[in-house]
Order: sequence, then structure tokens, then C-alpha cells
Amino acid sequence: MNPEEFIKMMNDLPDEIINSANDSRFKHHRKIWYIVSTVAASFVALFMVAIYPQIRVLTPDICADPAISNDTTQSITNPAISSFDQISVTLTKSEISESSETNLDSESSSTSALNTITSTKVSSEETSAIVSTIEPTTSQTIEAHTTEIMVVSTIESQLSTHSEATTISTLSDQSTITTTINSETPIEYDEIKYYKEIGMLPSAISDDVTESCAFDLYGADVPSWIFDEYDYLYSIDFNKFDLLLVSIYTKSEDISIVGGALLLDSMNMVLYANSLMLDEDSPCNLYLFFLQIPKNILTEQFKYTMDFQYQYADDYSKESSVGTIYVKRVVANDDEE
Amino acid sequence: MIAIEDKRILLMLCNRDEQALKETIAEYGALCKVVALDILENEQDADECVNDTLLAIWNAIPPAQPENYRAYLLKILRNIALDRYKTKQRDKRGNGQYTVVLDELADTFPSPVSIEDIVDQREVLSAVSRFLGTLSEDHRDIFVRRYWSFSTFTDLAHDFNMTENHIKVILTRLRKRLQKYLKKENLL
Repeated sequence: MNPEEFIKMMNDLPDEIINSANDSRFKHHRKIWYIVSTVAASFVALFMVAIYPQIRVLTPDICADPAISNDTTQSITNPAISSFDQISVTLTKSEISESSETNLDSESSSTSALNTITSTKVSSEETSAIVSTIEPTTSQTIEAHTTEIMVVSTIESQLSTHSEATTISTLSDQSTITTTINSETPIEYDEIKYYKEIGMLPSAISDDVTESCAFDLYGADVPSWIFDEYDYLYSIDFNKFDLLLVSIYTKSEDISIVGGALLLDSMNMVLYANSLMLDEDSPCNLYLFFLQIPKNILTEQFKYTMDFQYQYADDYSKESSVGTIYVKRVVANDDEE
Repeated sequence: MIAIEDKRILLMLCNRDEQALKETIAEYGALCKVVALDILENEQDADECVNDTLLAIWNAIPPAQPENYRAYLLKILRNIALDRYKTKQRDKRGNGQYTVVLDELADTFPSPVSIEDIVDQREVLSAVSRFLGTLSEDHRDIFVRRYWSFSTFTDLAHDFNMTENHIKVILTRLRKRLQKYLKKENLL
């Protein structure tokens, strides 16, 4: 055999060997691309871990009235800002009536003011027990169980102080709550207390959700329902309920409530779809959230805005789309009070 | 396994759709140009070689139905490039890679006797394929790049992230191993 014959013979090598060898021409560039994409992914991960949690917390647009000083009490009818932690601080109606004549000094008697506050606290065991009983096959069953939850939610436990920024200083005869703002900047909080259950989609969900206090968000296609305010603009009488049932029917893998801020005239929460891309082929899941409604909201007499933001995270691009849904609270009748 | 794009091009060729040639250029034009350049070391010759390859493909398919369109294309390209190189070098021995490669292989295949006189070429080819199968992927690719498409040491060093000297050492060892392997198989 001579070299020329060998070279000629090499042309008949298997296709796989030839293709593999010619692919190696681009291996070097591929390595560079891997490095670049790895660095980019690291930056994204760093951003998600270090920076995103700081900027994702919602800052309410409504600011405290600059005319109000630290010593001035502010009516709840003004857009004052409050915040709450995992356990919502609430006032029961009976306590409101008892302390309605009481004026509390904002600085010295914050502790005593808190003594009038009871925290509706449901233990995790109780919660799981409640949630496990809920199988929303129809809207009627949702109503029934909501009532059951309300009963449990009246369990009162020891006092706790979670927000130093807001102290209830005065309860007027009209059961309005006045507050003292110690900090001009909104206070962020970690998490809204909620109970979650994944269930089956009820065969028929009534459009009339007002009485059942259900807030339904449908659809895997987020934008289609985010901007359809008529479908999701429900009037909910918060005075009737301690818990708000939010049912979300979506193809997301999981959804959890990760944050938000409580305004005195509205409630702002973020529902974060902790999932990969929406998979049109996968079955929809029904996520039920039982949100504890702070009682100081319940005592209000005017319309509330429940501001839901739904974030849908795309695992590949790490981009998220955020939509806002407003749920207005109905005007509470004086008769009900 | 045929890529979907290759299937589409083959179908167009069978339907005598000239778009197939444009698709081929879009998909494999750059690769063909690089392979032709490695052999011919002249850009104009490489371009002409690629055009000749497209013509050959157009004439060959149908009736030919290659299982691997990419490899088939590259083999035709290589044959045309080698023929073109030989034609240009008929009167003078140049300094192209082809000549250098032949010199490299002279020690490995010293026999002046034509291979057809000894054994069936297919047996040798089969043995070489088996030998290549025993190598690591990088070493196999380096060997084929050097002796199939005549890549320079510089290109190989760049593509495999090694020094030129390292590439030379690897190729020397591989040639010796191949010689030993073929002797063991009684093919040399």
C-alpha cells in the first residue's frame, strides 16, 4: 500500500467518522459559546438570588399624606400604608365595639393597644384538617367549606406584635381605625399567610361568586384573563368573611403566594407561579388559596381593592409577566354592621 | 439517522428542485468551503470546487439515494478537490498539505506494491475503520481531519485546544499504531 492509495481509501470511511471529524471544526467555538452562556446563566442566577428578592417586593403607589406627622393620627379612609407579616393582626367586631371609645396614645400605649388585638391563628394541623376536607366539586361545596373555615378562624390565640410601623391608636365610634405612621417608607413583609390545596376543577363553577367569597382566576393563558376585567372583577363583601378563597385554574406546576403589601384601603398580593413554562398538553390544576383577611379591613365601610398580581415565570428565559387583577370590595351596608 | 433538513434537501433533489442546491449551500456551504480550502489552499479553487460539487450532487441524485447526505456531499467534495489538486500539481510538486500528508504517510505505508495486488481494498478499509474505533474521539477526529481533509497542524491545534507540537506527537503515535495494527492483521 502506498500513501496515495491510503488517502484515496480514506474517502470510503464510514459516514459517522467523517461527520464526527468535521464537527470537530466547530468544537472550539462551541466551547466558547458554552463559557459565554454559562457566565450569562451565572449572572442571571446571581440576579435572581441576590437582587430580584429585593426589587420584587411591591412598593405601594399610595404614599402617606405628607401633612401627617408622627403625632397625627390618620383615618383609615386616607391612603395610609400598613403592612402585615405572616400572621395577620385582626380586630374582632366585639372588641371593636368594646374599645370604640378608647383613645390610645400612639407612643406610650402601643402595647395596650395591641392588647385589644386578637390574632386569628389557626394551627397548621387544624389548617390541614380544614383543607383536606375541601373537595370543590361544585361551587356549592366551596361555599359550605368556606363557612366551616370561618368558624375555625374565629379561634383566638395569644397576642403577637408583628408590625412596629403601625399601631392602632384610636378607635372611633364609627368603628374606623386610625393609625400612626412611624415610618414613611412602606414596610415590606415576607409572606402572606395562606393555606393552599390543589384540587380538581369543579365541574361547574358558578359565575356568581360573591356569596361564596370566591375569587376565580381561570386560564392557562395569563394575558387573556389579566386584562379581562369583567371576568375577574368580582365584588366581594369582606365583612362577611374572615377568609377569602382564591381558586386558580391553571396549567402551572405550582403556585404560591410569595409576597405583597397590605394597604389600609386595599390588599395587595402577589401570586407567583412557581413553575416552568405553561404546558398546554398537561392537565390543568386547581389551586385553592385561603387567604386570611385582616379584620381591620373588614371594619371598613367603603370599597376595597384587592390587587392581585400574578407572576408567571418562564424557567428558560427567567422573564416573568406580571398582570394585575383588581377585586373591588362591595360597599358594606350599615345594617350588616 | 438522516437529519430532517437533509431529508428535505434529498426530496427536493429528487423532484429536480433547484432550491435544493441553495439549501445545501445554506446548510453546508461553509463546511464545504473549509474542507476544500484545506486541500486546495486557494480560495478561488475552493469556491470552484464547491460549485463542481453541487453540480456533481445535482447529477448524482437521483438515482443515488445517500443515507447520509452530509457525508456524501463531503466525500464528493473531497474527491473533486483531490482531483483538482493533482491536476494543478501535475507538473510541479508544491508545498500543499496534500503533499505533506503523503510524505508523512510514506513511512507508514512504504510498500510500492499496489494494494489491489495484495488484498481487497475493502478489507483494509474495514481494518482502518476498526482501528479508528479503538481510538478516543479526539484522537480519531484528529487523525481523520489530518488524513481525510488535510487540515493543517495550526487548525488542528486551534480546534482541539492543543499545541501544534502536541498534535504532531499524537499523529506520529497514531500512524505507528495503525501500522502495527495493519501488520497484525496481515494487511501490510
